[in-house]
Amino acid sequence: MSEPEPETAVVLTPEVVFRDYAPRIYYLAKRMLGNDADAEDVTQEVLLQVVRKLHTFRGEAALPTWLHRVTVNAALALREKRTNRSRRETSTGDDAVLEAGSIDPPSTVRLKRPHSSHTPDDIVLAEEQRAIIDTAIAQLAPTYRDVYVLADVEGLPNSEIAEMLDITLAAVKSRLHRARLQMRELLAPHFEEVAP
Amino acid sequence: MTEVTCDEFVNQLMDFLDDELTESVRIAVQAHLSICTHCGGLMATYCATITITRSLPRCPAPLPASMEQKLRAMLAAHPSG
Repeated sequence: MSEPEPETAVVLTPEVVFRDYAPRIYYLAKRMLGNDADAEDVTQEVLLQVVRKLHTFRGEAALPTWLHRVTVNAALALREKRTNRSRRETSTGDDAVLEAGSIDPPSTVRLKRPHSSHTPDDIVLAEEQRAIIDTAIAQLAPTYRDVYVLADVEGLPNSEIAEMLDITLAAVKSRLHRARLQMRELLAPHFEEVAP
Repeated sequence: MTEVTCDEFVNQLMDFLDDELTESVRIAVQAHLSICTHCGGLMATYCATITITRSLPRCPAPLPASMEQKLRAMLAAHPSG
């Protein structure tokens, strides 16, 4: 008898979900919301939802997609709640690309500019380099940050992002392009020159 | 389209990289690239930004220990449905 496929062999228990998915939920929420406390709230809420619905999942295959969606929804809802509570407007309009304040990451940390033939898998970032990129992401206005995180960090297709955020595909592409341009501006000073 | 400006180049950049431009616009963008070192540099750092962001680990570290404890306690108090 052959071994069962790994996907079907895993029995989904709260412990398995916690071990395999809690960190991903937390860091996605943290990148979207920009702070630890809110990310923790979202992680807690999403894990509770998963545990309550665990009996409806037959295996792990459908879980990651569902978790992305639930995490994004929870993060957006929490942000809205915070915004309403503080009664101050956030810079989420299409003309506002950056959060208030300027970015000033340590200038001594350098990012090795990837060669055009490099793929993301070829690159191993040091902790300080990751911090530079995450700091820059946190400086984007939420509207742009959401799209940028989902597209360029999480690697989701634009069509899926449009559905998740309830915006048009054209809006996803427009926001992603502007976010990338802003990120380029923020990161360009840290890129080492490519050797001739 | 016979010629594009630097602003137009920036506007078309994502579609150019995604190969979503019409033939005539793509040729005009390539022609601009061949003569404009500023836009060539911009495109290089734009692409580098995408590549390096995609290399970010989705989970850069384990959960903070105090948070892990809290979440485990929360899960223990809410048995699965």
